Amino acid sequence: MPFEWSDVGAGPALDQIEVSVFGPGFGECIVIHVGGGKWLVVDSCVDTTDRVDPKPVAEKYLRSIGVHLETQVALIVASHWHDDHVRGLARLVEVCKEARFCCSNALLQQEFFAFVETMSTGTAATDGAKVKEFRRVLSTVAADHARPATKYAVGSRTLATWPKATGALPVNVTLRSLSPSDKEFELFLQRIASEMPSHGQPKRAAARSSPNLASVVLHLDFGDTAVLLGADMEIHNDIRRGWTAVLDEAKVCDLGPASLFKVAHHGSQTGHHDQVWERMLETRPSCIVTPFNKLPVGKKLPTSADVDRISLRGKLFVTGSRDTVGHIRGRDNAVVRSLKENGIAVRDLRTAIGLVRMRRFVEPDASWVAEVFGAAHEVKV
Amino acid sequence: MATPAKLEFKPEVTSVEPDEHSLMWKDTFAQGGLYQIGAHAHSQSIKEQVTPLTVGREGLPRSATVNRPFAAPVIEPGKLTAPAQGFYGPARSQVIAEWHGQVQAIHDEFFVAELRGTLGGGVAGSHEEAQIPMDEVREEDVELVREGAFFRLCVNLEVVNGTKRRVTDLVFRRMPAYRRDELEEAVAKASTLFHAFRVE
Repeated sequence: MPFEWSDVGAGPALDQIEVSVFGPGFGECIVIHVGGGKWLVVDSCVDTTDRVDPKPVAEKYLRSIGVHLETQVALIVASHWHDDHVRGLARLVEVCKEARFCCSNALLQQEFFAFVETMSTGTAATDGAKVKEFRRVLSTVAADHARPATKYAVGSRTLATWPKATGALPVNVTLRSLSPSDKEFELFLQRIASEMPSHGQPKRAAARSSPNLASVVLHLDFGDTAVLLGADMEIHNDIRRGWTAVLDEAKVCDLGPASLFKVAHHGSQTGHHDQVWERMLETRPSCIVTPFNKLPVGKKLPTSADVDRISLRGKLFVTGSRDTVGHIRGRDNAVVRSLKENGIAVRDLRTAIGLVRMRRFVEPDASWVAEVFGAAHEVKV
Repeated sequence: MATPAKLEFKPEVTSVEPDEHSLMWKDTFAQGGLYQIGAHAHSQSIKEQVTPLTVGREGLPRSATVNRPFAAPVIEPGKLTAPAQGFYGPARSQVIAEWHGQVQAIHDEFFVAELRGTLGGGVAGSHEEAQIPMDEVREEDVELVREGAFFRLCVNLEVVNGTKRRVTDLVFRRMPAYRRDELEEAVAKASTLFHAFRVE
């Protein structure tokens, strides 16, 4: 069913939690109501099927349910620096004028600032989407003195709290970052140093692959329940890296198990760690996976095996289809034939947008109420 | 036979029959980068392309006619070729589709690229992924095919001697090198930004 912004209805009650996950097939964005009309946004993507108005989905969604972005969005978190997590982020930061910005400590180092500036030099700038977005974010935040200072995320750090005395919820709400680890921080900066262009070197775009392991895993504690946002975290055989390091941080913080899990790295096998399911999540939690379709057929995420594996452990929702929106209309047959004759195979990267929305009250016996929109669906076992 | 002399393109002689060794190189600067546009199978340097055209005035092809445009080179079916443009160009050539691409991954026989459609019905605004055979990359451009490399892909519709044909054009961008001054400027800008940034 095509996604219609008018279908999303009204916003949550002031004392109701909401976690809405968008995933158009390439990209993801999570919008969270922490009570009392305050919102936080994690990552950003745009509605690629909308060529007329390709705004960030968070902006479109929040406006459609009557949220005043300029004052009600308290925090914007960039989990990591990948194209599928930062599209539209700069606009979102510009629009949400009172929001605090937060990202990995590694992205707030002078070396990274220099890298971003260097990729944007001269008339032949080689900045791709992620460089452009981040450069704009950094410039906007630096120039805005009224905005709260940027918060850096590392393992075991409290990023924000909404005390029950000031909010509409009967509990304290706490947002913690559980990564990146010290080792990952160090490796990220080493990588940036090795990719830093030097005099005489031909310009080229920033490498596509930067480590998912440097992404920020978030834990949002609502007293009686919790939400775990896995970003693109993956496993690694070095105990100082990946999910093993995150598990150590969670142990230090003595975190309660989460009843809702934004599954890491699009549900891939490399994002799976048994201990996460055993120690950080309740039994059969609600799980949301955002697809990643920018891979060859058969490798698109989540694969059928991924869906089976996660379904065995929890109630699974997928925000979109792995399939694209289909044939592009209006393309000249001569163009189609010409590409075909030259052996050039093209496929549309746009996929239909979907939204999984979870709402619940903070009460001992409450449970998540799920709604799906557009291409999102619940996986029936 | 008369001494060979350079062919001069005067109004009275504007066309000869196609010559496989003629044509075509065109270097153009775009967005600060150097594009090399050339026929896939016939690319020569600009000097090389002119030299083979040195024919004696008496040696002009008999079929050369007045007021007819120079014909394009022989197009190898199934190969990417350049549009017959430049000063030897055909009467009409129209770009009917254009994408800007960036190489994402390289395999033995093909490379994968992300395409952003910039021109043409059903193309402009599109976001696609393409698998392009390495065979279609000009020999001179092979070294440019690296992750992160930029290129332009066009489909041209040409009308040559009243005959329409489609020509697909793959052009890798030769990026300029980083200059010391611009690197220093970037680092200075970054330093200013960093120190203006409030973090807690």
